[in-house]
Amino acid sequence: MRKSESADMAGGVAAGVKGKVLNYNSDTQMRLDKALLAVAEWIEAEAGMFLGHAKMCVSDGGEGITVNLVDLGTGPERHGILSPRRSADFAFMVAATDIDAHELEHEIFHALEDSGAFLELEGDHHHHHHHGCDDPSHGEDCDCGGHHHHDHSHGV
Amino acid sequence: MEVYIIGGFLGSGKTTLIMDVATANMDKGLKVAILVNDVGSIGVDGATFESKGLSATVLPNGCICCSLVGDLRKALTSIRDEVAPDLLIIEPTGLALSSKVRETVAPFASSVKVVGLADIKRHKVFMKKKRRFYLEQLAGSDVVFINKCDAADEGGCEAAAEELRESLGDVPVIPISLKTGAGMERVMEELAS
Ligand SMILES: Nc1nc2c(ncn2[C@@H]2O[C@H](COP(=O)(O)OP(=O)(O)O)[C@@H](O)[C@H]2O)c(=O)[nH]1
Ligand SMILES: [Mg+2]
Repeated sequence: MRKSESADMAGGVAAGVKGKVLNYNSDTQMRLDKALLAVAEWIEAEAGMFLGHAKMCVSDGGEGITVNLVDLGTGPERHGILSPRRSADFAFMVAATDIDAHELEHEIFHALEDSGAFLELEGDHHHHHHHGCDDPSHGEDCDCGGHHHHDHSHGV
Repeated sequence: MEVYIIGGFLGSGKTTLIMDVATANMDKGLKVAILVNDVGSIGVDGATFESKGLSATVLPNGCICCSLVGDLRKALTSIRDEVAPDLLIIEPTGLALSSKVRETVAPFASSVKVVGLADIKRHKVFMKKKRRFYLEQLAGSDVVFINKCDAADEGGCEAAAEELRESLGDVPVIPISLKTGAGMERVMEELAS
């Protein structure tokens, strides 16, 4: 197979953030679910359809809630519960096809900012973050689907 | 150690299947390890497994079918030598080609089973818009499960199964629902065979 042949076939990218969510409760979770939905809806508008997976996990000491969004008709699906607490670990990522990775990354930041949830994100430079697009680890003969990695944890 | 590789596109149910299969095997008294690789630098599945009481080794930021081959080998070595599980279940990224992962894993395993997971809710759109990648990703699987059949109309899953059998050749294609548990006995049978 020639280089990036399957990259052309899949055309997948991913972006995400992690950090802490503060003052976590059911209202916070609702806000975060909405952010997940907003990103997926943006992808649908941008790419014509949402072919991918938007997901997050809010967890703390072996407990946690995962929210998956694969199908906009179904909407965000929650698994598990997490009771209210001062602070919890937070990871949020979206992988999808037929979109630009940089724009996806910005969309995620905007959606989370607009959510009103109290987040302390790792490497959050309030849009002054630079993008490491040319992942040198992504080898010449990669057949993985052509996703690029957007690392927000670039030495704060 | 035996190894299962659970492949399939983003959101098809790999993590859900792995939680079921891991739990079922742990209930049988087996020692089970999980190795997971999300697309991109931020992983979610590792935390999901942990929050369900399953511990998982996470390989972030890359893809185990190409750039992470070295990391995958290291992780396999340490899992085999230090954890020494009876069964290791691997979840590659939803953009990976399982056949590539199998090549790297084979020398570490007493046996390797590659599962391809398809999603009936997106089968049609994949066959139309991403056909080559979709089929290539499922190709080389020892068995293919079409998941989410609870959400398909009557006969839809069987028709899709037939279509995949035609395209993939000599591979069993089995409709299941991880949500309702339909077909789960077949899943366990196929994995154990
Ligand atoms: N309707 C339905 N949804 C399912 C089924 N199996 C998994 N899902 C949902 O599909 C979403 C993605 O599942 P996940 O296991 O995270 O997929 P992965 O990306 O392949 O690991 C989750 O919200 C699951 O609850 C099923 O059999 N039926
Ligand atoms: Mg998963």
